[in-house]
Amino acid sequence: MANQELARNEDSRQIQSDGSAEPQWLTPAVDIYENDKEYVLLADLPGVEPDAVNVHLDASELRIQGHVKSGEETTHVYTRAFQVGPGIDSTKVSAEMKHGVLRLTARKSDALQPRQIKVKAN
Amino acid sequence: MLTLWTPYRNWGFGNLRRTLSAMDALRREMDYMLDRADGDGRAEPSETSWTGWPCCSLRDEGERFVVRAEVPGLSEKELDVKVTANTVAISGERKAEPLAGYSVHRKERGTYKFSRSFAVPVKIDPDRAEAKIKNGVLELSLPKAAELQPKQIAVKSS
Repeated sequence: MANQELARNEDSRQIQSDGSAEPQWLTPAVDIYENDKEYVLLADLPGVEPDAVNVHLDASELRIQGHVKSGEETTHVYTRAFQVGPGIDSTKVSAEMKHGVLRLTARKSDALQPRQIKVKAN
Repeated sequence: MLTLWTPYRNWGFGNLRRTLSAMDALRREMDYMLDRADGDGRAEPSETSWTGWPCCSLRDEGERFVVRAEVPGLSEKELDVKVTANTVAISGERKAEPLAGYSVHRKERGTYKFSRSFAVPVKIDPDRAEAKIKNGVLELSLPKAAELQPKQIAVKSS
């Protein structure tokens, strides 16, 4: 997960309207942390139900989206996208919501894990 | 209706007062902008400067007012809500310390110690006020005072 944010202005387009008002697009505040084993991303998504969060990860991009709903209608969409490097194991990404804060944990690939190298005596 | 045009009517103290209050407003605006310009553009937590956090709205739903405040990361224990007949105050602290043992790539979520209060336009009934929090959004329901509620009047036939 590189520290580089993608310009996603094209995502600001309004979704097609079916008679209801179009949702407002918002940019959530995000923290990103890293240690030897994993990356941790925290995002403020107030008003978003846990089942209304989408996390999309492909080879080059991580995108998070949270929908704020009022009844059936989506009133706001929090969205953010980040460039990711090859070092993330996409099968080991987990996400949880607590008090309106998303916590996403992405494990680094085993190849990037630090290893202790034994020094042999000759 | 025609009004006599008196171009010098607004001169004198009234005009001076307006000019001074406009200057005050400008100074407050500048202070706020300078506060925001500190560090990474987000104001540091402070007792005196207003950070704009949490984002609040107050709406009139006829029989009640509803205050909505976005407080992601806060639970019911970390919030203090006080209601009187015509004011409501919300205070608390949102901590967002860097995770221990990690290096920081991006830190946008701030630590905010906040206290916000609103004057409610009409009298409310504090005893029937309710506060609930869900998914980081605090919602206060403030029913208007009983004497302001519309009364059903029976129509008699004579």
